[in-house]
Amino acid sequence: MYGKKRQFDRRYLFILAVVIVALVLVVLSVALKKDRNLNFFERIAKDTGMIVLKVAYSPFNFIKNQINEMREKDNLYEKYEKLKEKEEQMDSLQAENENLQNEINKLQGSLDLNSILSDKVLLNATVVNRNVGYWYDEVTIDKGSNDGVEKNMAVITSKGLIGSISKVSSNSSTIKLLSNENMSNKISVKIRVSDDQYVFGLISGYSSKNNTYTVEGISENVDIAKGADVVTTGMGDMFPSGIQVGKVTKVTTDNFDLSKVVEVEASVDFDDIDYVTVLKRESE
Amino acid sequence: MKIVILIVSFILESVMSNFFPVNSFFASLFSLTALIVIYPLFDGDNFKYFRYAFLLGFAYDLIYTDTIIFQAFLFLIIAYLVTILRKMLSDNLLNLVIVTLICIASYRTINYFALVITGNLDFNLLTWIASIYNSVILNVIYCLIIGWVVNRIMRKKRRYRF
Repeated sequence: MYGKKRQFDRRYLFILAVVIVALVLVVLSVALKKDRNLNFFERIAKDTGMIVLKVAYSPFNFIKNQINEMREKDNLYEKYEKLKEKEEQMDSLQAENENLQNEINKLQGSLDLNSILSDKVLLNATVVNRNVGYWYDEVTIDKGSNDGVEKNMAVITSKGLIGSISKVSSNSSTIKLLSNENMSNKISVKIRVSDDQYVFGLISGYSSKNNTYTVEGISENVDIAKGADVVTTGMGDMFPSGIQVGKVTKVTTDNFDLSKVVEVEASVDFDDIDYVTVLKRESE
Repeated sequence: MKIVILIVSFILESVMSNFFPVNSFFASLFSLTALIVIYPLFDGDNFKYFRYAFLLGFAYDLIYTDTIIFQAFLFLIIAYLVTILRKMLSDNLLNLVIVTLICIASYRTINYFALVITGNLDFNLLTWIASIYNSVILNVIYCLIIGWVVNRIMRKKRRYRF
């Protein structure tokens, strides 16, 4: 009788343990789900927190900017010379730009492209904190849904693409960086092989060690030069075409010699992001 | 004073993240470090300490990681670990640093494996180890600073009592 009770207890404990483990796993997967929308309570808490953080960061930011300004003043004359040169070219560039814009409009209509860079409205934002959670490769900016920011909008810096908006609250947003080694969205890119020819591929990974992306899905019989520009294709709704991603540093073939694997050095330094630009859709 | 230290550490963690490269040797975990160091200020009231840990983790969830009470429970586990380790080890700066290191390693490990189990990250031994040693330098320095502040407060408290 006693033995039977002990056996029953053990079985009961085992079932209980399995149920608890299953419950913990379910709760964990819900708690850690990254692509969910913030609820009302979370939005308010996040907005309030961000206001406090922004105020606390402002004196530090002021000092940081002053130091950067002082450093830049050292090269002021060189910069002035360069700007002078650029200004002389400005008129011809403007005419060329207008001409190209007309061509883009015509081509966009005929090719049915739904997302190009010139369609976007630029919204500048300041980074409030960088990757505090450590694992998520995310930065938080001081612009949110009140400024027209929406989930999945592309985010760039002056050097190129850095990621997309993953969460939005009223006055702040979270950007998921492309440096996230588990990029859930495969990004379509094109590599320039000659003046007007491109090959298409997909970014399949990122290495933080060398600050490089891996691009796959490129035909074996295409010659790709080192240093070739890599830009987004505009396929899919998220990233418009023509955003700089990086430059080719190494070309290899896959294990079966069927396609090329290209290593692309990111044009952006993910360690140093202070100001970003959100690409809003024009209708906003 | 406990609340002031925790709030300042919480804000400072975000501010500091802007001064160091992402995933560098200077990953800040000031909120957790402060929670570990201020334990003596609770005068053995563990229930109150756990309550503070849970609330701090909850704020971390809402403002920094956008997760649902995951960090709150994680901070609670670390708080429990602190109560055990503090009982085992005597109260001096070296032991405080050891407790801080054990807690940081535990925090990173539980966090990492939870993310791996739920499919948010692929397991990579080097990434896991890097996450621990990246968090050592800055947080040990911060632990020593806060430890010194807490020691002064405790000394004043004792003088006031006798």
